[in-house]
Amino acid sequence: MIQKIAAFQTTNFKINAKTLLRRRESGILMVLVLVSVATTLINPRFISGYGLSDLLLNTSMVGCLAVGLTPVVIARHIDLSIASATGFSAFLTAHIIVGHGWGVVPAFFVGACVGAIIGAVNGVLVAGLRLPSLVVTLGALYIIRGIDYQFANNKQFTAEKLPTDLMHLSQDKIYGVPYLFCLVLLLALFGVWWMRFTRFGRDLYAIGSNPPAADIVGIKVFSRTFFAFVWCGTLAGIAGVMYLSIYAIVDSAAFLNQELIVVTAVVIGGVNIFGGLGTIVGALLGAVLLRVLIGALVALGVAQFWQQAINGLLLLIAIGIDRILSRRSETKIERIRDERKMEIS
Amino acid sequence: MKISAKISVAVLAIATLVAIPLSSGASAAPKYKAGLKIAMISKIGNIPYFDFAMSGATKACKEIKCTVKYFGPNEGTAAAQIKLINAVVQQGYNGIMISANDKDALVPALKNAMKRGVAVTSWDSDVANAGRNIFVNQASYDGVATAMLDSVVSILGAGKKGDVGILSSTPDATNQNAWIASMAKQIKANAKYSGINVVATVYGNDDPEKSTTETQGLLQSNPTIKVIVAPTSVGIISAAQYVVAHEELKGKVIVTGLGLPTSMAKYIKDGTAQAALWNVPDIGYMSVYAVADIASKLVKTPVKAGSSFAGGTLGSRKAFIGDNGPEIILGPGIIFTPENVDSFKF
Repeated sequence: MIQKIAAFQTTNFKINAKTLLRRRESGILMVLVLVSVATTLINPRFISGYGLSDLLLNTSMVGCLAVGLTPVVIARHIDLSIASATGFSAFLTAHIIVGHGWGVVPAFFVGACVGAIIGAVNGVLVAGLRLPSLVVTLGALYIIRGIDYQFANNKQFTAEKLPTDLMHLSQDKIYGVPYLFCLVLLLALFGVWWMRFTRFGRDLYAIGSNPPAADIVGIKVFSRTFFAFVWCGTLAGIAGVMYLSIYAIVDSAAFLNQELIVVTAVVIGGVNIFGGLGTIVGALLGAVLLRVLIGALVALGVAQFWQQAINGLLLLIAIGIDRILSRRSETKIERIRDERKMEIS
Repeated sequence: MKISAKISVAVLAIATLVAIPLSSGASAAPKYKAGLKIAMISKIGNIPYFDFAMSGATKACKEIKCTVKYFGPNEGTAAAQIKLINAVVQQGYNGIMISANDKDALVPALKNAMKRGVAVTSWDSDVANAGRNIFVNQASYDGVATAMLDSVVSILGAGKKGDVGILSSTPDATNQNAWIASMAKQIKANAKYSGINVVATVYGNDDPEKSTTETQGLLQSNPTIKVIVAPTSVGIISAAQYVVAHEELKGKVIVTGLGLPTSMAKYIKDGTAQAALWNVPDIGYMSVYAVADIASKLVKTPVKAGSSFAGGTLGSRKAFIGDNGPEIILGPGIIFTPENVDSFKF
């Protein structure tokens, strides 16, 4: 059955005007265009000038994290420690590079390593000991933030101390696209290749669709799940370095309580919270839509309470659409199955 | 009998001798109760502002031989502070100095502390009068507002008109709201500030990400803004960093407000920002003296207008009855300039 679902999904990837329109990603893209056009009509500065590159820069962090979280969610897991890992990586990286006088490249290397270690610990607990990821990463959320508090000990790093090259990185752009967003696109490109065209990635879909069956058919559940968490942690680490670059200030409260924003972006992007469905492109579009919407509401001067309420509403709509779509694809799978049965008989 | 009488005369004489230099000099150490334990409770445990205040508090404690311990809650809520208040009362502390997250919610816990003989001063951010013996105010609300308005006028040029946007912390922050209200009042009342036109107030929740998004929205909705006033040490950095990151804004939008000199030095020197603040270590220093004065019963409670609080090397302060009960004021703020900013280590 897993193979049939996988087969169904691969056939669905064929470029075809009709299926393209029906794809979840196109739906998000349409909403994205609609929101952007509507906001620009009311306030032209939303997109013009530096408005667009600001939007992309704002999206870089949540985009990076959404790309990181997607494989984990597809494997029917969750990583709630993602924002704590980002914050801790930001502080620890700042501490290390300021101490050694290092620049941009070592900063990203250090950040990625810090994140990868956190991801590996989560991965061992979830994949190795088969503990529920919700509980493991919830614990990690508090433990990492606690270590961050102790380690940071009321200190902060500001533009005064942080390397100038790193600050400039967030200001540089190619054709109006910030470097940091280009980095996110590269990571997403790798993610797309990994999740769509490798055995490794397809296995994650299988694990998420039906974990016991994945075990029975001999999929390497441990290594697949473990690596998904390491990937998620690594991208959280990289996002931490982006935080330094964009905001030029870090303390132990950096990126506090932002984990659910990332989960929201992923779900809005059409990744099924119960695993087995969704794409990295969708999650990235979800992150862009979320940030564009926040940007639009701020640009239109909407009060803070409504901004949060509208995010929540968007989440509910996304889940509603998911439900309808998955019911439709279920009936389609059943129809295919019935047809095959008839062929056999 | 005779001998003891002689001794008591001698003691009295010595006491008088000692008392004379005491009442006139700054070396006031001996009159404080020995072994005072003071708890300094901050709004939240992760920002350097309170660390700098703590450095002043430690210095004052060395002078009067008490001990002070820092308690920073993990989150900036009243509930987290109430837990800390109850804990330090149980641990037998003699004094609490607290920067309150909520004006009213802390009152029952603090009242209970005072009932058990603990001296309570609020500092930095006040609680309702029933919850403290005295408020050590860093600077009067009007004084802070005036400093910021003067800075705006110096950016716009005297007598010139200009649009101004405000980037505050949270919508219900006591201090920020009082400063913003006072600015509005002074703009109306004082012809010197009549050119200042506040077009919008936004809230960055003292979070760099939110503050950056709000700064962006502020400038998108109001492209005529020439000055951003950020009366918060977190928001001012985000606003300054946003302007620095955009070539298009350089020189067109200037940021001002309240900020720590060590974190604002870069922006002050390159002309992106101005900043003012009171002397942060000094407020910790002054608060220790105030709480020790009350704990040692050198100042009687309830504090009346005119009661004098010793202030160590800063000199004494006279209490007065403010809008919210008795308070003392630390003194005027400091305006940081490219020339002086490096000399402040907080």
